[in-house]
Amino acid sequence: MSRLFKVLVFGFLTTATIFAFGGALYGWFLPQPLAKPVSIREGSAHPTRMGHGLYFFGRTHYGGGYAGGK
Amino acid sequence: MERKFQCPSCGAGNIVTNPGILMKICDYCKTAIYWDKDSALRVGSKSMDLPQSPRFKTGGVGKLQGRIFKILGRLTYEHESGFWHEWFIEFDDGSLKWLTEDEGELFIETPIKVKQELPLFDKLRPGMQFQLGNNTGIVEELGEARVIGGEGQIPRDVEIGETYSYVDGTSTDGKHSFGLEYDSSGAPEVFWGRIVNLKNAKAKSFNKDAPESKYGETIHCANCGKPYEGRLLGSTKSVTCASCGSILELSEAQTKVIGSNSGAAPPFTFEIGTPLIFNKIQYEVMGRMLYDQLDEGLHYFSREYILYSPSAGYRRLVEENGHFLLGGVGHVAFTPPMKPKKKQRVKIGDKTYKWFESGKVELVWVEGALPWRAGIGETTRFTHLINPPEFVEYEITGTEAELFKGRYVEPQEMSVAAPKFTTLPQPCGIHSAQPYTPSKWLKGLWKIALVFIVVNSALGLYTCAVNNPRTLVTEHVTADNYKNEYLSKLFRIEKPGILRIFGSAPVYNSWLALSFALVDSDDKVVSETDGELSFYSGRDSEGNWSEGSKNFSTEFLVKKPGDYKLLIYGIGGSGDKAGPARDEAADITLQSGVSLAWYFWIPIVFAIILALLQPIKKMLFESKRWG
Repeated sequence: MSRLFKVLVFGFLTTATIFAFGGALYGWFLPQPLAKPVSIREGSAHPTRMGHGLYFFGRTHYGGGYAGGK
Repeated sequence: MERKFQCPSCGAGNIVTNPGILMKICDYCKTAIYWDKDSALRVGSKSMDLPQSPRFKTGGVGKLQGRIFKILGRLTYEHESGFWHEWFIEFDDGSLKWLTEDEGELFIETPIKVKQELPLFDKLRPGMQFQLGNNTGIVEELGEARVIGGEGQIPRDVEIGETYSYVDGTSTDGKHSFGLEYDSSGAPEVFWGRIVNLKNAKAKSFNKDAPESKYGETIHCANCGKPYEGRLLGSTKSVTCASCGSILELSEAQTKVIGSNSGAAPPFTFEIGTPLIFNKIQYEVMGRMLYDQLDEGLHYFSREYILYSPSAGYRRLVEENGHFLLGGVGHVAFTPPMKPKKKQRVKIGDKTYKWFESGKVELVWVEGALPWRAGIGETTRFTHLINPPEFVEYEITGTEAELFKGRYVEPQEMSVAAPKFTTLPQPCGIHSAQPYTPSKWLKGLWKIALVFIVVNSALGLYTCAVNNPRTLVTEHVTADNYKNEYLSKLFRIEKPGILRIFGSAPVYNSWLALSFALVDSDDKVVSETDGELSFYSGRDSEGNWSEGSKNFSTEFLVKKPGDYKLLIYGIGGSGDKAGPARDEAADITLQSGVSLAWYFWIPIVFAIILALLQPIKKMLFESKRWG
């Protein structure tokens, strides 16, 4: 059983090393590019007549943990 | 050159083979016969019936470290806690020695002349060191001894019944022994020699058919009159009557009650006579004792078994809280520290031990046949030192200082040593001399962990080396800009990879949430990320506090080279409620060619934790040992 435990530990560390390598050099765990690029003029939830303010404007989930105040 | 003469007492013929003989015990009537320079015979007292030795017999031959010797005679001394034999032996090269046999131990000694003045008997104490010729002697035992008799040829003029003050001890390295015998003049006769390894001493004269009783007849309890039916050896000096619990001293030709067990018999794991095997040597439990240590109002009991093997002599097996220790007498210099501290290092012989505890124990129960006079109620001051699995116990009982060396016996070894079907106690807690046993599961894990620490460190260093961040664009974005979404200047990304956005804003008790989109030359968003700044501080009952940061960084991926812009959108707020935005401007920097070496810390930290599991377990074990 102790041998199996060591094999599992070895496997765990190998996996962790591979993930670390992929994450460090290839950004495996970073936000990935959009599968379908979105036009900044088509992506807004609330399109306006303004030149910009078309893509993010109108989204309500920004502000993180402090959006409702400290 | 043989010399024949007739005993002046009984007329029987006697023969003396060695020219150095000054005394002969008549082979027939046991009378001591002396002669002076003129060979005039003088009659002394009669020798008493002497206890037999389990090893030697006058007239027999033996072998010591490959050298054959003949036993010419012996003297037997009685002292406070028993007796010892001094065998007068002649080696095949004609050299003469004294072979002292005491409590199963052997010492081979010769008389020596010492130039310097030796301490007076009254000035000596157990454990004291003094100069003895070119060596340093350590007093182990001192007291009064009486010659109770002898056998055969003796090269000394010793009166039977005479009393001497004696001192026994060893050299500082524990390899040599000495004996001082003080006569009425106060000047001691010095004997110097060495301690004999029992495995190196064999006597062919050992008579297996000889009765094991010293007297060749049944011993009766001096208290209740019942016969003693237990085991007896020639070296047995006290026995316990199974009927009335009286402890009987076997001296000369009678038994004497020297104490008595009282109350209910305490439970012992091993019965008298139980065979136990250690290091392939079979011992027999000859006696057992219970000691009581009173410490801060609490009683701590330890059981001690006296083991005997004809080839290895006596050993002690101590049982404490289900743990077992096996030890024997050691002759090594030791002076207990005056004000010892826990874990204080003390060198004993060629090893260093740590001081564990000192204290006092009282003997509260005795059973069986012991090679010394064991008295109920006698107290022993002890100093316990450890170098797991080894231990040293220095004990002072009355005028005797003894050092015991031994080792911890693992439960597995104990179960093999004891007869089948013996119920052994479960070890409770951690014993002072118990060695740390590495966990099988964790054994060698550090090697695996080390490999991954090295590999991940190397990969981390490589990642740092290839990390070559290049600033693509820097923007100072006002609140008006980011509130309405702001497109940065055009920049070019040469190759796919990780991009990092750094941002900073002078937030103070406020927050700013920024969203970013990477917009390609077709005005299409190909990647998104966000970042948040918040910094709050204040003062409460515990003092000043602050949390959050005025900076942030975030990473995201880009897969195609090309011309891009960064779309920035932000909202903010303030206060501990949903306060208004403070409209702080933000400085944004976008970099390419980024790598994230810190990812390798994750497997490194896991590997370090795994590597430390065993040391942590050991640390907890040691903390329990010393706690």
